[in-house]
Amino acid sequence: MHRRKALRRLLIGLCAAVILQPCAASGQYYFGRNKIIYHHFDWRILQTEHFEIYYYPEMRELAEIGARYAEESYAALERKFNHNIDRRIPLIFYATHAHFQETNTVSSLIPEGVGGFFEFLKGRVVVPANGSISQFKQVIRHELVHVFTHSKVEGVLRDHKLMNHPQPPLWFMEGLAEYWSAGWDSEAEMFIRDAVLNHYLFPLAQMHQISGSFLMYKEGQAVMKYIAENWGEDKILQLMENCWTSKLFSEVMKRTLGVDYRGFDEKWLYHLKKEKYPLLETGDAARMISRKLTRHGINIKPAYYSCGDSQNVVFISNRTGYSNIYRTALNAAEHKTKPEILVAGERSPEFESIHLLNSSIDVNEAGELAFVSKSGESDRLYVMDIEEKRIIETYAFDEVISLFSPSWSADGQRLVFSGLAFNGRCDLYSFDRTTQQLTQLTDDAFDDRDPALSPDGRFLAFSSDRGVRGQSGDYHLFLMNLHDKRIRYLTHGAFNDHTPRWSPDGRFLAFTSDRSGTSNLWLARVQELGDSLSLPLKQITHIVTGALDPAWTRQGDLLFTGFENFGYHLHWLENPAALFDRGPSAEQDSLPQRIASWTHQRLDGINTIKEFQYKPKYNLDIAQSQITQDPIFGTSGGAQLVVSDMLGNYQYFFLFSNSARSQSELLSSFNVAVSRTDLSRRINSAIGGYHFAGRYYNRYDEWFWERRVGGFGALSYPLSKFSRSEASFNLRYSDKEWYGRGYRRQALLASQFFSFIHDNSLWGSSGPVDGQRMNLTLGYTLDVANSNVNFVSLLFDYRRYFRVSQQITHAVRLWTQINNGREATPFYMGGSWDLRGYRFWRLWGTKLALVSNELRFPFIDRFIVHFPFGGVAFNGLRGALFVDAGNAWDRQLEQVLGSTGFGIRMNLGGLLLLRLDFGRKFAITEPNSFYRPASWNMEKKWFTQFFFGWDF
Amino acid sequence: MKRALSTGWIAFGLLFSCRPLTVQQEAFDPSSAWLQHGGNPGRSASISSAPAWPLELKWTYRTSATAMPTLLAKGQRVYVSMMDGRQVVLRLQDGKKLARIRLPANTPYALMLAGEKLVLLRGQGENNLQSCHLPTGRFDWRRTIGPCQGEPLLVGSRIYVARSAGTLSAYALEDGRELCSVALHKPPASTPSFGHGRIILAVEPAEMRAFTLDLQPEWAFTAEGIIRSAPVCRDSVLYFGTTAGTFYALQMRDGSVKWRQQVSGGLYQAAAVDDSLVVFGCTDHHVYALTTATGRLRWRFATAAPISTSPLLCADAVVIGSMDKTLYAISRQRGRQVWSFTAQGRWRGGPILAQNHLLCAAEDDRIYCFASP
Repeated sequence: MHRRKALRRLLIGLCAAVILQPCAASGQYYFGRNKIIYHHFDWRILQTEHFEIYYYPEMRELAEIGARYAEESYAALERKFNHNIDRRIPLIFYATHAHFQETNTVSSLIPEGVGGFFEFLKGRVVVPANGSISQFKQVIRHELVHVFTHSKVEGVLRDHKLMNHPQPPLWFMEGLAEYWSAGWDSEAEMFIRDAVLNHYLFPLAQMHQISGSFLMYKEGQAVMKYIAENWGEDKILQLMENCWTSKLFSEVMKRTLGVDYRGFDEKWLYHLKKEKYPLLETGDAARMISRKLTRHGINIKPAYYSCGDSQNVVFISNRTGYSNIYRTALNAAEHKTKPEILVAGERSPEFESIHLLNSSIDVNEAGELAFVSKSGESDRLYVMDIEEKRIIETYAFDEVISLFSPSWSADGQRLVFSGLAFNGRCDLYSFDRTTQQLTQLTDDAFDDRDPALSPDGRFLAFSSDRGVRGQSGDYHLFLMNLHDKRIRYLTHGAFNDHTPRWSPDGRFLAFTSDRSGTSNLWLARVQELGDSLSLPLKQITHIVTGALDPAWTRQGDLLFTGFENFGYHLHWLENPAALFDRGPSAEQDSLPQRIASWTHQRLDGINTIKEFQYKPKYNLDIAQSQITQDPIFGTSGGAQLVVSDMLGNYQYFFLFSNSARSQSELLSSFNVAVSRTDLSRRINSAIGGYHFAGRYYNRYDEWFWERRVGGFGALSYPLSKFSRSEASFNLRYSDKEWYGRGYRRQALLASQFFSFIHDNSLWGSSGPVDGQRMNLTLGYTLDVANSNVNFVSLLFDYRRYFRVSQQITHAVRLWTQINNGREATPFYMGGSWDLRGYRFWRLWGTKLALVSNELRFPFIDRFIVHFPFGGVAFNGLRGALFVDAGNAWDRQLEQVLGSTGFGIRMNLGGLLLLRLDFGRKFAITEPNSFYRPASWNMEKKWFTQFFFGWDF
Repeated sequence: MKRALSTGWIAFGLLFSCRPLTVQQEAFDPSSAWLQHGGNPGRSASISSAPAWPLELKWTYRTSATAMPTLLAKGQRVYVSMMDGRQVVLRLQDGKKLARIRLPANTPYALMLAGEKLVLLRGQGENNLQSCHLPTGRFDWRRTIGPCQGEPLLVGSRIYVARSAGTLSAYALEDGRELCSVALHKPPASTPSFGHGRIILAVEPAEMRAFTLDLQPEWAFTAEGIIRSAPVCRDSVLYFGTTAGTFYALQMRDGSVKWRQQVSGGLYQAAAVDDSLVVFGCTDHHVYALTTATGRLRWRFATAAPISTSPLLCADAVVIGSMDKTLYAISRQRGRQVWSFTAQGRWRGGPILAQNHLLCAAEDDRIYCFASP
């Protein structure tokens, strides 16, 4: 899991390092990807009766629509919860997901799949738009359900003074938010059908095993639906009101519904089976009616491509963990050939993200692949020659931030796509490769997607919410005459239609529709394209769990994505036109003559509207205090406070502690550090000051007393999502006395460090499994007053992860650190995190070097230990074979120490990794000697080392 | 001096004795007492007296947790139960704590006064129905009766309790003996109340049922919408609302609909009723006053948030609390505000009037007492 080590972590690390080590070099030692602030938004606040809406002027229209809907949602939820929120709720809107990814309201990087969140420290709701107003509204409602749930439950527990009482489980919170925002939709139906029919539905008693996953969201939504239908929606409210009665939610359910988890699961699972199993009578499994082309991971958005006699499919997949574009032959399964990567995504600045779930790809007759990828602050449109595997054209458009689903004209000269502008509007665009001209085809607040040019180039089919039913979030297919830009309905009704695709001969339009409950493929025979449009429709797949993303082959077959057994896989359906002519007669939608225009309601009728410019106001994020008692170090206590503004752009850190052992030392032993970070721009900056004084101990200096008073500044500039450069400067007065040596020195120390950090690693359950990361830091520390200290610093830490197979990784680490000069501070080595087999920090010196090789592999998927009173299950244990070699020294490396062995890793809920290593130590003596061969000695005794921490 | 001694004795008993509470009996005016939820078995929450508006804040008392919905008052004593399982007795005059009841539980109790007895009902656990003799501080009896909900109802010498397993039971006040019970076959949805010789109870999800005093079923009525509020009985008419916003007046004798009224929000709190007016609060932020005869809307009063308390119907005003943290006194004739007070937290439960002192609890962990200056 990637964690951006933001500048504030640098500062905390610096502060901690300054306390623990006089030299600040090791405090900058870290990796992480970068959140780049491309835009310095001019934030404004729209204050309504119950909300403070944060927005920037370009998205004013969206802000007003969102404000209006937020107030409507508030009124509805107030009634549903019989509860109100006694403060204005901060709602922070972003016009596009790309802008949303720049938010500093959370420090971590935001994946593409995150649609919004409620951050409960400051009670903020952060919501991006993506062109679809209905989806924007749904996310607002979803997050507001969280706000009300959190407030209601907190109020109930506070009433009973139960401060440490557990909150309702995550499946309840997310399931409720989904159910009370989306109701029951075709996506939820698809997932639950699949879970029931493929026997992987998790009952409530085991829901913790999928905690946080998308499946948990959908199962939680299904549970809420079942409770509402069988006990009434009011019981959902009562579950929250009764949450104080027991720490076990199963008991709360027993009290409220009359059944605990086990009793509920019996009824619910039985009900689901009765409901879903009969679907197999009239429905099909995708693999039984078509040829399955892929086996692993998510494989979607197929595009047909032929070269000579070979027929291929190009598609997007995350089978390795990274999202890539692949090519495979249609008959690859017969020849057991693996898909080949055409575009490696998520590892380089050019292909930061190829929008796995949101954007399709297309290939023209000349074998040119069109796809989009995020690159820097916006998306780019790429054209690749597939045979040469070379990018031949790259386009970026100032008008659009995000691009989706490029589609070729038949002659390969034009590309149409949907584009999301800075103001959050999603419209259709056409790009002419010859003239290099971009033409906007639609310009309105409706969400226009999935454009497809007819083979004759005269018409454009697309999906949109522009019809009157779009107000309730329904998408239909429309046809635009490119000559006069007139738009008319192709489909219409209480359902959603997407991804229209013309057959090569122009006779059919294949599309996806959920009108039968879940998404399936339909064909429309386009018989007339004059004024009297006749469009017979027929459902040609009846896949119980869902079919999406149709793509025609030259021969008139259909490739599509089938959802089955919790996987998205490509399928090949032969001769769908024949299916159209068989069976019952085609349907026809009743199409309105004209598209009735409608607008989203904005601020009319909302009370108390004020507007003002955003000015940072600070409130508390974290306040922690601690007192420790140690037989050697005595008693010490301290506190840490962090305050930041609403947008997270400016942060203040305060650290206070005291380690006095007597009253006379009280003032002199006060430690305080204050720092300010500015994350509002691309260059992150920090400044701060500190006073640290007290007794310290390390194995190198032994006991000493030191006072440090000084200040620092730091800059971090992200070059891309994966690389950044950093610089820091630290000036401090140091008064240090070594007890053992009876030596005291005073110095005015100036330190400067420059770093280059690169990280495109992909994380698994125990650590990185792919990619690489590197930290190169150079520094210099000088006593500018008395020349008592003078040393240079070098840090080089390179880690590379070679993917042997899907689950196996060979990890290599090269690490060296050098402090060279007067009073150079030492480094420490030894322990489970570097040189295994040796005690933690057992080795020290002003120079160190380490080489590690580790083979990481799955070990035990699951084992359960049963006791008379219950049992415990352990999942996903990983194994490792390792060889480490290195040492720390001052003058000369006389011995290389090492170890080799086997390790087991266990992930505890994503928060902690337990490590157990077994092995044998070895030593290589006089490795530098030219005249005498080095001797190698391996200990007979095996060591065992247990600790925690992620793999390197 | 005597008062100080008795107070000291109570304090002594509190500190050094296992007896939970000792309160000397004193003379009081029954009409100014608030002995159980809603003030009387019919839960009508109406009182013929009224303070002189506007009121001023006389005292506040900081509780250890949010107070339970029902405050009780008798003479100069105010009995408060809190959601952390503690109970205190305060002096009406100045809010001074007179005694604290120590019971081995941290789950809340509902209280009821019956003569010299204090009846305590807890939702679950051992000995969850108890009777304490106030003058001596001894427990008369203790019973474990299984999970219960709502408030106990005292009618004559019987205590009626709704049990979560789906039973309505009657216990003798004297010794806690179970006298009779009736199976509901569904969980109860409200506190029981009494009127026109009948025990009334709501049953999930939307049924109102009537029983004789011996708990023989008499009639049942199915409402539109879920019933969450206690039924209120007065003059042979039963009043209650549903979360779908329907307010009913039923004839007590047979459960037939006398009239009904539809409002735009949900009704979670009980109503208050007297001879001519029935008043209730709604999640649509409004307080509604209807005539008891026909259900015609007399007036509607808007607050800034959903109503959070049941109303108190005084001689000249309606007192009700809202989630906007304001306690309102509304003229019963015209529906206009005559007084208000804003606290730090939302108002809870229902205001009561005792000897012209208005008391109400808020979720800022305070009991507020107001009186005329």
